[in-house]
Amino acid sequence: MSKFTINEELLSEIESLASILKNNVAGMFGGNRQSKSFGSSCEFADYRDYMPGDDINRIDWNAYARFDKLYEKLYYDERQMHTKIYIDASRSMCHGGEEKAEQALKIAACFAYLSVCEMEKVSIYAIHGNELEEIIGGMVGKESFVTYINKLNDVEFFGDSHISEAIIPSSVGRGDGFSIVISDFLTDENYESAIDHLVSKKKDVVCIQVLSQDEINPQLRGKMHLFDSEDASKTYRKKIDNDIVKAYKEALRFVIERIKGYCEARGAYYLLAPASASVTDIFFNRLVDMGVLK
Amino acid sequence: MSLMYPLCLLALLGVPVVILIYILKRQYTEQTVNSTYIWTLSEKFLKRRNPLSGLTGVISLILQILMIILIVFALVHPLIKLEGRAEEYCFVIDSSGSMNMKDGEDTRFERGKDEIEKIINESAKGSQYTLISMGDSATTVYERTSSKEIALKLLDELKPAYSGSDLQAGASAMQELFNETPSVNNYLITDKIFNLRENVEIINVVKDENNVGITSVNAVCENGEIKINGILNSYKMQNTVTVDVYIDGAPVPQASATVMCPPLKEMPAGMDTPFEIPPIPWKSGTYVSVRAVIREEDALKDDNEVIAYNKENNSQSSIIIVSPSPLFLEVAIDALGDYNVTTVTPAEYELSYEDKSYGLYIFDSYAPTKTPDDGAVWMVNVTSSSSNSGFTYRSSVELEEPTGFERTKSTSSIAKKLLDGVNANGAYLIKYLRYSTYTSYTPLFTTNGVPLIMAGENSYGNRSVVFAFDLHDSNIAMTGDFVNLIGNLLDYSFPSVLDKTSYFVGESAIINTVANSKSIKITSPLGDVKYLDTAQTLNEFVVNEPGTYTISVVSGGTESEYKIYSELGLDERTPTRVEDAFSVYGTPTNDRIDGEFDPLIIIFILIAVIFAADWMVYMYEKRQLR
Repeated sequence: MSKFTINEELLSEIESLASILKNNVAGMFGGNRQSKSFGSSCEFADYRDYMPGDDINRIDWNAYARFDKLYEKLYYDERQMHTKIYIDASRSMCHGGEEKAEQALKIAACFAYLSVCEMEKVSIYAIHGNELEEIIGGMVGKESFVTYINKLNDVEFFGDSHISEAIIPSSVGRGDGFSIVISDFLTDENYESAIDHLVSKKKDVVCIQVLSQDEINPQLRGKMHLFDSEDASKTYRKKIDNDIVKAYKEALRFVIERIKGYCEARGAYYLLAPASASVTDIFFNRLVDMGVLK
Repeated sequence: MSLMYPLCLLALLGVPVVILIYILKRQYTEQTVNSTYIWTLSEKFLKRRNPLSGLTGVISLILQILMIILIVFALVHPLIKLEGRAEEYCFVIDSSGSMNMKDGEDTRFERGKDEIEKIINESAKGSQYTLISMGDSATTVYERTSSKEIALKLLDELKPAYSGSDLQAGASAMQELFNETPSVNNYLITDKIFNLRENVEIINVVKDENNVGITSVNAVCENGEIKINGILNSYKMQNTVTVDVYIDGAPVPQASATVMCPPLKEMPAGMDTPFEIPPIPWKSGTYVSVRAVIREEDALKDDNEVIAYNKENNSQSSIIIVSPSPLFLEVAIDALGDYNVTTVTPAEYELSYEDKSYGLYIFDSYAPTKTPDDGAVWMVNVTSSSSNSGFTYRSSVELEEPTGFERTKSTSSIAKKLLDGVNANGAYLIKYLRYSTYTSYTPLFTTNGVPLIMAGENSYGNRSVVFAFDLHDSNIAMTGDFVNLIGNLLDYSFPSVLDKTSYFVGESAIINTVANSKSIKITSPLGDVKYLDTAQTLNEFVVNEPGTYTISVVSGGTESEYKIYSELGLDERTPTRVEDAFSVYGTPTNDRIDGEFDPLIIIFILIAVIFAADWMVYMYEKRQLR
């Protein structure tokens, strides 16, 4: 049974969006993404003095006529980026309803589509424990998207996940586009190291925190003995009343602010994506407002 | 402390039930959530909580247990004994006719009841109350009841009588209680003034009532007109009184009299104020009733009218004498008045008269085979037996020498009535008959202990007279007493239902049982109905209400109606009467009885408070969990 479905209209709308990379584009292969280095694209970048051995086709003869000196015209280089999407596939992402998992997969799919539309390479990983499970690797082009995107439905959400332990040892690339981490971040695990690592690799990091409505505004009341879906040894036993719920919301706000602040301090993007929020809203409003897309 | 309904303590089983429910509710609901991380982290953000928050469950449990205990406490209805706080009360309320006098809205009796109610309400709980109604006898309404509710309810239902008040009976009843409990508080509620009282607090309910009453009314029909007069009395002050007259229920125009009625105390002893209605043309020559009514209103309406009913005699006065030689009887009856007498021989009777109806059948020297059942019967010198005659012929006795009549020594009312003016001195007889009676007969004259003349009833219940001798074998018919005797026997045989039509409340009215009476129904002015025993020749009943009593007599398949009027007693019309004394003798003590404190109201208040508190805790908890 499919965990998510992609609205074709949404995809066609997403085609109108474009991602904005902050870091130097340093892909290995040529592509659509304008690099900060000079290359062979059509977009003029600068002049420099002609040096022997330079391509004489790039000499600006008009400038020579004016200044009586040979100048070489420089053009921006264009590289193919490699968007890597990491999905937290722990049990907490789908317990008690698959809305979070569905939201995470939808966001991943839309990001993937956006990337393939920009002729970029896309890889999608599921984080299980300390491991990264490659769901889709090196997907390029819309045809590939259509072919492979259904693999997302095969993602199993179980066990726990250690974001840092899974991402840091992997090959995350360098300066070659977005690294998107989709998780509920409801853990005291050290996910900050992963962010630091990705930032240090000049990746444009986007942390998307997916929370269900019950997590944002819990309806639990009365005497409750709560068990953690990932680790049954973690329990919480209390008579939940308004005071407790108020404290819960403050704790949640603290967690959100903490990750948001951490991301901002390191030039990474942070987005809170409630499971109930529409993907359209996320992509066309929130991500655009944040400057991730345009 | 005593418990009125101790079985209700079983309701305390509700306490363990509530505790069980509380324990079951205390169980934590287990649930798996995505992550307990935030929940655990929230502990650090938990501000200092209201200490009540964690205790609401326990507080609620305690309040609910308390509430159950209090409800059970209310159900068992505890009464807390308060030593020496209560007293005993004895009320004697005068229920005589004068207590019906009204000044304004309330009668004296109602004011008296209000006084008793006030004392009961102000008395301590647990006090005991005795109420005695003092009418023509003392009636204990309740004795030593400690329930205020019952005491007040029965007091409320108490109605005054119209008779006099038996002060002696009231004092005796109070004395009896006082002898048992000398600490009793005695109250006499009355409209009389007592010159002397002892150990009794007298609550006088007299106000300034003015009363005028009609004492009597008389009507005489003669010369084509009817003359009406009567007597009035004013008991308090001089009044101008107008008397209206109604004849046979209809008002008579111009038939009224206005008289100045001075107060009774200013009248010479034994004098009353007469009134006289101008003669009214009245062609019919008779009337059924004459009603005289005082037009003005006063304090006591029960003495403002009197009805004089014409004494009617509906008895049949037709007589048949069946005799071969009726001379003595014919002469005597003829001498007594206007009776419709038919005289026939036995042969003629058997031929033509046996089926005819008469008020009195006199069989002389002849016994019909069957005793008539539709009238009184006299049997004279009957030497054979008739069925249902009440006696049988046994033998004939011839005396050796003439023997005198012995007057009966019986003091029965029937003997006294029938022998009134009859001695039969000098009367003798030479032969008599012996009979055996099987119904009730009273001998009037005997000889040697053998009844000669006796009166009683035959098997049909009709009045019967038996002469156990031939009038020709005696000289009694020649004596002057014979006519008196025959007159008395005729009166006995043709009884009037009513001897008189006017009584005062408290008197006994006499009703004569006429021949063949199937039922005699008495309907009082207030609608009470009772039936008299038709087996009795004379019936008495006490008239205890002012107004018209209706006597319905069913006889021979027809119903006849008679009326008598009962006037309020003269003593009850006086607004203020002075009596000698009303005393209870003995030395009173100050002993008090144990009172009771009923904490029910406090319990209910506590239940309400605890309920409110529990409700507040519940609402607080609900708000906390919202």
